[in-house]
Amino acid sequence: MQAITNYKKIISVFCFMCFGMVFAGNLPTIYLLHINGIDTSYQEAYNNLIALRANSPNQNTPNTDMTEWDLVYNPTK
Amino acid sequence: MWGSLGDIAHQKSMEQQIITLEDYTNSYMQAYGLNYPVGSLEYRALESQMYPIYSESFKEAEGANFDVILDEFGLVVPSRFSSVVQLLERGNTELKNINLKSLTKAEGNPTNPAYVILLPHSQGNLYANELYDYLISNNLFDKTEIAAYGIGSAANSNDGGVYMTSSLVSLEHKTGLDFGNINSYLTSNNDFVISGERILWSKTLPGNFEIPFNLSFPLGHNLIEVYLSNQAASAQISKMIDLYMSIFISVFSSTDNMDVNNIGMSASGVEGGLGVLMGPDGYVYGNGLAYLSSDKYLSMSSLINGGAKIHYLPHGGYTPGTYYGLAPLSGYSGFAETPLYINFPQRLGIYYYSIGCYISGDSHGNIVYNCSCNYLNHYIAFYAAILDIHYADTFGSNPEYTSASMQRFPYAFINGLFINSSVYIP
Repeated sequence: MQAITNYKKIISVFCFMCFGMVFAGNLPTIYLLHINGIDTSYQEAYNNLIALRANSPNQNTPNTDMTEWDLVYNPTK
Repeated sequence: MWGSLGDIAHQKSMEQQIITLEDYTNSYMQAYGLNYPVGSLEYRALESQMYPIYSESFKEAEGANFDVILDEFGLVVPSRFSSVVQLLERGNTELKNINLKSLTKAEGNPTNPAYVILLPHSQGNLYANELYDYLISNNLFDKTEIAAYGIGSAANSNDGGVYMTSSLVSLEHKTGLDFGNINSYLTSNNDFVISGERILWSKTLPGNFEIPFNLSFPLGHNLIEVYLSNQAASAQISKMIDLYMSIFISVFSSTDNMDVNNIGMSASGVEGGLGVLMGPDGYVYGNGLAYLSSDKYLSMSSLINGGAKIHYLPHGGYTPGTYYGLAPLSGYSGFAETPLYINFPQRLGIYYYSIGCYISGDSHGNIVYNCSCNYLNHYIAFYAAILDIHYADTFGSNPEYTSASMQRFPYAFINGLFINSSVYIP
């Protein structure tokens, strides 16, 4: 027990995931879908989508990007 | 424009009929004094019986663009509706005639996990409720797989926010973290479009955020010019999206998906290690913490957050080479050889990717986990996982760990990022 406690004192592990490794397989996709309101053209709705995405903190690198941003257009204009 | 206003008028007048089949069935049971447990045979039989009436009621209440929106949704979330996508890829000219209402989940291909966050603005919130309730009621999605965060909401509820907000409150209680203002929608108190709607139809969600009046945009309703241009509002929206994602990641991580992925973890100049490894039997094992001797491994498989079976390495330690990806460094006094390169199950890769974490000791002999990361959702997943390690039942009869307690993670929340956090284990 004491040996283990002492051992704790000298531990110093630094680890980090190596960027550049490739995720493969059955990763989930998180879809972030904007639905616009009334009196909104497709282009305006698309601009909304771009703005929402730009506001997201998840500006991931390709390897970490589990997200797909898209528009579900509500045709109101 | 006027057609859209008429559509809103119709949707608002019928809004109380936009609920899930489950809610519809529960209301029926309440009205008739029935009390079948959800999921029981009696409940499911009643739900089946209710479906045609519910479906008719829903159809009557849905907005004019609902079918278009449902089909668009099916095209951008292909994993659930692959048959539609396949038709599209084949250039099927009849695609425009396909109505997703005619498809069932079985016809889709839900092999790739898919989670959805709807981000509706204004009337889009009414359609988001319709879409959410439709997908849930027809078993195309589960409540753990789809959510909505409303902005400038024209609706009287956010059906896709209920599960998320309750999950986040639970997570707060579990972890001791404070996520600040948790909400499922953000509507400015100075949004005069929605205020006007509230006068016409009293049942509209109240304003819940103060965005100062701006003479340039007097209606206070535009998504870009008003909501996303206000720093506090845009930060709140961004934070909530990130929190929603953390719940989805937790949901995904709790499923039993044991694929191995080649994700590297390096350790240097140390006598211990952190991580998990995949045994030849397919189970996840953990060498856990660096200080552990060969017969006292602390399982880090609990990092999988409840979804994986917890296993200790065999008494006496592992045999090098028999565990996938194991490459020990030199030990300290014969203790705790360290995997240099570990193959993680991919979901752990999600947790640790972009997270720098290290373990050290303080002057009192306490273990200190340190973690810094760029993404809030990764941090939360990491934190919840670390917390799981200290559940007494994880450690069986080992008194060293059953008595373990720890302080809450002190953390700093700066510009939407958690940084330099640590946890102490006395």
